[in-house]
Amino acid sequence: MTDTNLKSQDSAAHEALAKVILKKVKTVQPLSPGAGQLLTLIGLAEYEIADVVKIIEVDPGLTANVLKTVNSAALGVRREVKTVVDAVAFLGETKVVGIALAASAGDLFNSELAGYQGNRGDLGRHCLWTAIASRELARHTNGRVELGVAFTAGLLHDIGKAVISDYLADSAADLTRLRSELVDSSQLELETEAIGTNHCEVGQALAQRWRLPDTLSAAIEHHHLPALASPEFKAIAYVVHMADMLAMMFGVGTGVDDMQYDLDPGYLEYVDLSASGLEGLALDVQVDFKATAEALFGDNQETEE
Amino acid sequence: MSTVTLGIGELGMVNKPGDVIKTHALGSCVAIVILDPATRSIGMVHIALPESKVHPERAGKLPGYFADTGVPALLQLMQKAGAAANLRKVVVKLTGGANVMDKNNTFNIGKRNVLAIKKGLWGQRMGAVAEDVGGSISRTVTIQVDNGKVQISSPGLEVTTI
Repeated sequence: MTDTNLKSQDSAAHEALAKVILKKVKTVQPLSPGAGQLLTLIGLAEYEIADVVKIIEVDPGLTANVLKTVNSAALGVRREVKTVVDAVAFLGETKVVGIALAASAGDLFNSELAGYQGNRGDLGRHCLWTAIASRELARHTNGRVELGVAFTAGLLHDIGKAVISDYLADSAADLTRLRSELVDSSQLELETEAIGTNHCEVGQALAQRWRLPDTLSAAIEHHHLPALASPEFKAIAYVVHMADMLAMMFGVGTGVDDMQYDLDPGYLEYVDLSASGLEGLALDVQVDFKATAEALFGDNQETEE
Repeated sequence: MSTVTLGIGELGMVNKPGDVIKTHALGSCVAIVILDPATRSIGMVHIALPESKVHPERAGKLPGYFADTGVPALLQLMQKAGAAANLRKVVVKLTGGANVMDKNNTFNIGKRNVLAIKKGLWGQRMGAVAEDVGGSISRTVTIQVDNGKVQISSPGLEVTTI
């Protein structure tokens, strides 16, 4: 059999596998109504805090989770917070979104990530670090990216990894071979070579299944290749792109793909930040991350082998 | 026998048989390891950023976070415990400092960390005898008092020793 025949067989197999994976996305549990409404609201960028409160108040599970988190020892509130209004005022709406997502899609965020040689909990921690960093980077976009949108996009950017991890684990031998053959390729290219799709495409498919706003969907799809986002979504794509890289640099990654992506220097057009500004920002993010991770996940682990 | 695990910006020391000191997923951060053969002591600090001037207040509380305050803080910790009395006789090793290629030079924190640490060590008339720095891999470092070997592991790669 010729090389060309082998390649076309490979390509057909990958296409078939990509279809299977995208089909699997359709079986992922929908978000709870409260979480879905919150993400849609925050993704639209223009909203009132009263609307956030209203959504939480009619969802008993979400209300319980928000109150439990705000009263956790890690956040150090002096008096017990008893109402959703006070909890949202204390936590800020972005963290409330984090709580809603952790409650609604916690299984995904807590995936084992065998295909990335990661550990249970790594994805949730990485997404939280990226979310906080995205929110802080959004402050340097001259108002082009809303803080709540940035946080939410950061939280969701790698959700596709939870879906494709098992398929990557099944293709571990292929991936090892590809890593040695394609030394200059990014993780994204390796994923596509091995299973016919990648975590960005699959994450975007999941965003569509969850009917998330276009801004969030675009940020998920283009967070590694932000230049490919349409003009209206480029700023948010670059913000999440930078935040994701920074999370990996600060040791809060998801495993074998840590730092295996390229940085697009085009971020300068959207984010105005000096080298020392970036260092100060990373420090602030780390401090916020430690307290929030403890409150959300009930641990204070930064990373785990 | 204990295992000390350092988080970002933390420093520590071990000196009993069976003790282990480690730090996870360095990324652009750098671990400075100081081994004192005379007392069989091993100190380590997990440096995140090159200069404390970005946040002097935090440097006061967590000096290990920065290269310029981390080196003296680690030496002080070891000397307080009776180790590293003679700086000419300690062994220094470095690992971490992974880099993201950035032509804007904003994200090159790993490279800036390594340079600032070397400058800090030179200030003490010290230098690293071995290093595994740079590249684009995230490293986890483990050192056992029993053999003093600095073991470096990364997901998907063989364990190496410096």
